[in-house]
Amino acid sequence: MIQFEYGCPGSLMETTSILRNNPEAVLLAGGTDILVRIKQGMIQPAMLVDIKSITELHGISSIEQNGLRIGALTTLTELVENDLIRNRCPVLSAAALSMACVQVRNRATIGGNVANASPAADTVPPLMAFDAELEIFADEDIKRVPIGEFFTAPGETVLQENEILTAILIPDTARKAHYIKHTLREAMDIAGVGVCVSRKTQGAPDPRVVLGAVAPTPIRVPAAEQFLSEGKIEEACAAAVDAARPIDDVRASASYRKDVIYPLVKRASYAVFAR
Amino acid sequence: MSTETEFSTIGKRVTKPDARDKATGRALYATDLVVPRMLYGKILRSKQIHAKIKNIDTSRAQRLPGVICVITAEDTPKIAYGFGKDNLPLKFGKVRSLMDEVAAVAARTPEIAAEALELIEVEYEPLREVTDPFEALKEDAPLIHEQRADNLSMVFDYVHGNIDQGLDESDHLVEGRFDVQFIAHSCLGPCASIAEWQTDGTLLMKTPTQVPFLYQRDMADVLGIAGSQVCVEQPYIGGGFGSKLDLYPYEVIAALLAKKAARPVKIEYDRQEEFLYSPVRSPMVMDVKTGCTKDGQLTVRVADIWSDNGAYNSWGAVTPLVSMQTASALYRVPHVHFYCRIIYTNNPYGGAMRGFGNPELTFAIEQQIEELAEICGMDPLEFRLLNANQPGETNLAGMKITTCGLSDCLNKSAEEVDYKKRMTEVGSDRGVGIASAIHVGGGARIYPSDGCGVIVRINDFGKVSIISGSTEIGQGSDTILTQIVAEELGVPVDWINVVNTDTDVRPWDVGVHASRTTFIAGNAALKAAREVKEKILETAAEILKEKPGKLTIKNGEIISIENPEKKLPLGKAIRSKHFRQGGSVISGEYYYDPPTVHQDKEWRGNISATYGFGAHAVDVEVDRETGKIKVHKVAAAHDVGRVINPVGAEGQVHGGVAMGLGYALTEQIQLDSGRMLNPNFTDYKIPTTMDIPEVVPIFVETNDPEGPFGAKGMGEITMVPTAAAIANAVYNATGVRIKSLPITPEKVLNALKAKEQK
Ligand SMILES: Cc1cc2nc3c(=O)[nH]c(=O)nc-3n(C[C@H](O)[C@H](O)[C@H](O)COP(=O)(O)OP(=O)(O)OC[C@H]3O[C@@H](n4cnc5c(N)ncnc54)[C@H](O)[C@@H]3O)c2cc1C
Repeated sequence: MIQFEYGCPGSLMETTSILRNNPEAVLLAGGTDILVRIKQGMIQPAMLVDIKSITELHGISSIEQNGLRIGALTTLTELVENDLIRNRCPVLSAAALSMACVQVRNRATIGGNVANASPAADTVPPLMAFDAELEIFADEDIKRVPIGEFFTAPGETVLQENEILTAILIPDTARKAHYIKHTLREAMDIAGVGVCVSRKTQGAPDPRVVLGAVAPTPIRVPAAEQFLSEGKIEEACAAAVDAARPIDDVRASASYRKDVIYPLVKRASYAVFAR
Repeated sequence: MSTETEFSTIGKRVTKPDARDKATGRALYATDLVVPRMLYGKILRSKQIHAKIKNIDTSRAQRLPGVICVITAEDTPKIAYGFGKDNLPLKFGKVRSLMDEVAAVAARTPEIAAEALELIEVEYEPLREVTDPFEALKEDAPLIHEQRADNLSMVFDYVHGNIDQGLDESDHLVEGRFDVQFIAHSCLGPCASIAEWQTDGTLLMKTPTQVPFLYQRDMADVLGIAGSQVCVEQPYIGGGFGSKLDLYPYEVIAALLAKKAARPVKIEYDRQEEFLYSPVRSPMVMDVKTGCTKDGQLTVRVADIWSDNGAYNSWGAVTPLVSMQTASALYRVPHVHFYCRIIYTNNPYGGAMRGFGNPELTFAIEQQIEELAEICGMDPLEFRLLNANQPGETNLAGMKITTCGLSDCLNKSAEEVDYKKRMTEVGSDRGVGIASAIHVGGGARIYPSDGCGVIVRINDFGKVSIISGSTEIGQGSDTILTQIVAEELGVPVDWINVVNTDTDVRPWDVGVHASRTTFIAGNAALKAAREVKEKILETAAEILKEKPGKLTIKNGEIISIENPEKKLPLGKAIRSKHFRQGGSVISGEYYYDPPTVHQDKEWRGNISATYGFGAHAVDVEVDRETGKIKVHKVAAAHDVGRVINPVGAEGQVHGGVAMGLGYALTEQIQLDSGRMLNPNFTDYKIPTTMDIPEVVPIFVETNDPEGPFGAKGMGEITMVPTAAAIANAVYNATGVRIKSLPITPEKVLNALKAKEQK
């Protein structure tokens, strides 16, 4: 029988003290990743610490001029439906809508998607294309980490055992972005390749090109961004292909993943740069 | 042909009687069942794909608190079973695949049973494995079954005409290698059974089998008891698609555990186990050749096939019986050779699955039809119409084609996608494709009997009970029987109840397979109802002082045809039979076995009382840069004889097309050294509602003289031509022909790249 202890702290302080006393404990948000892995016997945590009662982790708010603060416990359904997100960062709503199914989206959280650190996580390429920062509660203090520095390997991040992701910050949403999730099925499918391209809506475009599911972590491709800022879309596509380090798995072969990066980056770039 | 308006319920949209229970979750499937004192059984599977079992130590498992008993082959009669007599419920001496059952535990809870499995120690001596059917045929290949000379389980060889002559007469010949993949039935209701021994020594199995009566015999044989000692009760069945056509080791193990524990034992699979341990649709490699004259007349067809059977013979091993009919009977071909090898490997073994060998070969044949049409410079639709089967023909395999709506199916489905015009359009990424199919529609005499018994009885208040040997697996057959009896008896459908009890009460039936239930059970029900009607009218005639022939029953009332004011409520007539000395029960029974024959040694003979035909026309779009295929529309025309219930018929089409789409595009069991890599619905990709295109069911009603109210079977054929039609449409859109299923974006993209390089 799968057995674990269950904790349900009401505050961040309480959470860290539980984590300090139980080095084996694992945080539980929506559970759509963690419970699946427990049931499959991939992990056997001694304790699950359910963070859903911590009010600070909920909520979506406006920050600075046109920035967003998205609480870690924001569900994918909220990302799809929330007006602030839909108006300021529609690509994130679209990415969330492309994920799983209604039932899973009702439970799954953005914090869980980020912290789970799957190379194929769908909210991550859009967040990286907006230079998002992660707000982390550590040692009774709040720190900020750029999302590009957060992932270290599949399933691994810089997050320490007693640290909690509290929110995702998008300092400036004044960008136009397009995310393409390439899958075999139209729903309930994990990205074979994910591509997000963005540009500033005012001034120099300062583009971002982010690839998901083609490397151990989602990656930005600075070379492609440089080409895009010079208006060289074909070269940008080629640079993206070069940067990818995909693997073969049950979802697609490495060579197929490489093959589709080019057209997908091209399409996302046209979508963003078209007038 | 009579018109619909003459019928009170045939052809009407009747809701399934079980719809409400299923929609509200009240219907009890095998997984839902619990019985008092029940234990939970779990099975230890082999960790080795091919190995000798040196030793099994169950002592630690036996000592675990909560474990009631542990069994291995040593606790069993070791009687091989299955039609190939090559499988044991618990393996002895050696294991041949990762599905193999090595030991089993019955415990108080499923968790304890699972924990106990971990405590069983098995010592293996690995043997060389073989998972490629071509390798398995080589001289130095390891033997899957040592007592055999080689790994060739069976060979099916069929000829009509003369191949050399056929080749000589061909102006054009196309050849190619096609391959189709392993797929899973993906029933929503996974395997689950409860075994319970009664005090009188009979075994009661609550199990979702498709063949309750054959099951009695198979179970009795493997346990070494009499058939009369096995009683089978079927709970609601959450889909079968052929996967529940055989008796499986897990069911025998439940019975063995229950015997040893002297308590009921339930074994149920979770989704992962369902993927890993239930039978599969076997893959095939098919070298196919088709020839025609320069004006498009088919001359010859040769199919040379290798089928990966896996480690044991279940019904997957005989799928060539139906592929053979695709070869001999789809269109009129004077010279045909079909040859298929069933090859043992260490892979998961094949079971029966909807279409049974037919979608496989149709995928190849229907692509070659298009290749030939192109060479001849003919419209592929015209080419097909020229060669289409015709009513009233007996073909060279001895199949008597009585009614046949193939040409209508082709024309109507083609029209729906504007085929003729779209076919010749160039320069777009859209394409159209079409494919035909033939399948048995009047039962299939695979066993010596193809019969089914039905009893119809009517009670004091006019309520009618149908007691049928046939099995409802979600396909809606109980509704069909209800409508047939309602129509014949002249009572409303909601006066009728189909009683689903056990094999002790129900009359015999060979099982739900071969698209046979509407046709076979329907005919039995019709004739049983007719007997009831005659008895009622006789009684009413006495009361109303009319000749029985002048009376009829309408809407539950007996009326005189000539003097409609002369009438009698049905219940009153029945009661008059009950409330008298020398009265009688009003019931009727019929055992219908169709006028067909078992095929002879050369595989000839009229195996089915009628044949179904169909054509699917599809409209697809191909993304040339990613290879992704989007299907916009499937127009599915089927000659079903007559539509008894449009809701059910449309449901079969929608379901068949969805299954066909999965087969064509996304579904594939991926194996690595016999181990399934994607045993879950995330990575084993059946289509979701978001993937289903517009599906247009079109029914061609040929009113078959042998069918109940003219109906033919249609369950399987609805998935048969889909993949071939899609492959043809992909070719029409892009100029590349994909001869391998599933047609993944990767295959399309690679083919497009190869074409560019040329
Ligand atoms: C059927 C199905 C389909 C899916 N489809 C997709 C898909 O299309 N795309 C996709 O990207 N994902 C998909 N997923 C994966 C999953 O749903 C998402 O990753 C989801 O966003 C995870 O969120 P959660 O709240 O459920 O995370 P949980 O399972 O609760 O947690 C995931 C991990 O993050 C950690 N964690 C959670 N919250 C925090 C926090 N605030 N601070 C620190 N650590 C934290 C947990 O400890 C755990 O390790 C699917 C899952 C299922 C079951």
